[in-house]
Amino acid sequence: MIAPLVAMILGLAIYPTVLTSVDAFFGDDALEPGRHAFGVQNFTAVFSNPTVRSSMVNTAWYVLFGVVLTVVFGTAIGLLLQRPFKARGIIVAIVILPWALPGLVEGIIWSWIYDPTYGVLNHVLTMLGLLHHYSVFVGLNHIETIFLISLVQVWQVTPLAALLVLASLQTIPGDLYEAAKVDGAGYWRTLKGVTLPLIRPGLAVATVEAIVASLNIFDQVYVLNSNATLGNSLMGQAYQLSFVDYNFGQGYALSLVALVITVVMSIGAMKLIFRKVDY
Amino acid sequence: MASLISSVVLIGSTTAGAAVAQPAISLAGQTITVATADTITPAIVKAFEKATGIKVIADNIGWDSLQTKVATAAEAHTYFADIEDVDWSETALYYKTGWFLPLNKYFNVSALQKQYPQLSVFIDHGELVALPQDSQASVTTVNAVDFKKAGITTMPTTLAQYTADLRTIKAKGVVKYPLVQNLGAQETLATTWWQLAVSYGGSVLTPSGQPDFTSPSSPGYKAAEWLLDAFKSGLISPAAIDYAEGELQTVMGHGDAATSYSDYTGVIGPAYNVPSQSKVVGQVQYLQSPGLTGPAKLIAEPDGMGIPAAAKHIAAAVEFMKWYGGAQVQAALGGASGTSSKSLYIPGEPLPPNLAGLKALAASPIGKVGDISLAAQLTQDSVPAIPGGGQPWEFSWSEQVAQDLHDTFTGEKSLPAAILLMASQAKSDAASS
Repeated sequence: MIAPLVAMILGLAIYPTVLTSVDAFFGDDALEPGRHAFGVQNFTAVFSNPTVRSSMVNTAWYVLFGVVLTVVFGTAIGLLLQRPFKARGIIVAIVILPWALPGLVEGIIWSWIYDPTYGVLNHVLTMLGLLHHYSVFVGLNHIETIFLISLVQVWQVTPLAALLVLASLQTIPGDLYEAAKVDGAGYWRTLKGVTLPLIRPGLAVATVEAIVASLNIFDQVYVLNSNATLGNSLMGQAYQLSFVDYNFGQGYALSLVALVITVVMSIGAMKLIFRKVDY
Repeated sequence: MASLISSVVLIGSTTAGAAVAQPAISLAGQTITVATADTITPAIVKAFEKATGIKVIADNIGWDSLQTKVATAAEAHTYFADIEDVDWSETALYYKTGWFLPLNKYFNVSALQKQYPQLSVFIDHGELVALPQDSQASVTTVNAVDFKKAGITTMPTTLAQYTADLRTIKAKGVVKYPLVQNLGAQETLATTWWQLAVSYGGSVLTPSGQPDFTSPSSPGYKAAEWLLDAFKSGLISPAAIDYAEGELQTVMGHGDAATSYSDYTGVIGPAYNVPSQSKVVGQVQYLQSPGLTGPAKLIAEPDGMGIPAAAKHIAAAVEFMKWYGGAQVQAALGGASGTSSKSLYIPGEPLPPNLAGLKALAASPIGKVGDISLAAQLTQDSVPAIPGGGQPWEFSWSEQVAQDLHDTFTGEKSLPAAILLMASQAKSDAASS
């Protein structure tokens, strides 16, 4: 019964991962054809590349902004959607829209929001008197650039986080809230003492999802900041090595590094946040 | 039968057809996939199928995505298409990797050289890697109305005069930022620098691939310095560091700049003379890029069509390339036979790659608009970016150049530091290739 699923996972996930992992240990360079000796030369080259190192620092920032904002906004939206109200179904459908859009399309949409010459953000801010003249938002300041690009990804990933939180919220029995109310707990105390501890499974999955998305951020960076070192990400560098330098071996090596970091961080987040909840 | 008819038609009427051997076997019924930089419209597919009986699947995807797919398929030795895009900067790379078939067997190269002004861009070690699909060159565009408003009646021919004119336009308040260039970390920035280096009378690399821009008196160094000075002195908008691909044309089309030093031949008709998307209809004209002592040579930047090593239907692919390169087809792609959706016209199509096509287009009604004759002439006179042929690492290095030059505009790096990095990368690439 599950054979097609297993075949799909083996063929589309496991096989390419194994192949990439193996090839990462061989010098596979299109400009130097032929299989090279087994070794860690690709990893050495990748870690000694200053552009790759700066992309690692940038990616750490992407993860920080991405995970914190996604989890906070996702939880907030989940809590708002928990209460029944008119047209809730429609609102949920609208909220989830950004998640359905490809990262590239989102990058293009936001490039016109951030655009320094004709952008919506410049227009609105100058209209409100908050800016005296049009400004360059992306590409000048390191942290500002990363933060603004992160926002685009947060906009994309938050809906899924919100749905995960919402699903967890809906499993909490109503009598627990009634008991808290009887005990005199207000909204914030109930949130801290009842809601948040009981949605930890949902929060854990949402966090992992945000980690995976932030560590692998690429499309948004590529569209909004091209190949500039200021905002370049780990995946941007993997792309650069593979499809611009045509040094596939180094590209595989960097992808493998990203995979290991993703797995380690995801396991760490699960261990830190996830708690089994029984009612 | 269809193939036979098409061969007869090709011999009689096409440019490429006169220079190539005709296929001996019937190709009708074969299906080829075409994945090129220029859009293959349904009308083109229909016309080709009607002429030859060969079926075509047009894989029209973005340029970036196309390069990724070409590389992935080649690296995996798998089939992606029968005809694929070859960018002008990747000829040497594809020659070295063997990802594309040498075309000398299928085309008479010496005959083609007389007809395709930019053919040499696609030749490496005597092997033809691709056939030009279009002809493009980096060229200066000017809004003549803005120049006139500033009291400039004679168009500049030297960089010194051009710079002085830019300052005059700014000083007189005609536009806030007279010069528009894309200073984002994109290939466009690298090619602008390459063109400026040629305009300063040199090149950025020697024929052996060594950096030729480290001395402050070298053309390459001066080119980078000129661009940085233009940016710092407010001739270029600060926004230019964050331009998207194609935003240069948007800014120019909105009338927010008076000139672009490094625009494209063929751009005026589709970008600046379309009333629905331009506020400067009829105002923009080509100008042979000003150089150190007079008009400069332009660098050739065509896209080509090549046949990948894993192609399934090579003869049919060759047939398509011959048909596509035909003078009448080329002129029609440029709009010479009308611009309706049923015609072969491709909106925004760059200029035809061969002289016969250029001539036919220039002579047509649409050719009278948008300075096509001048663009055609400038394109014919264009030169390869690197004298003596490209380097396999040219494409990769130009991305690095774009990154480093971009960092000088954002203040991340000083110009000497960027130049040093660019030179060091070129030396390292040259040594390892």
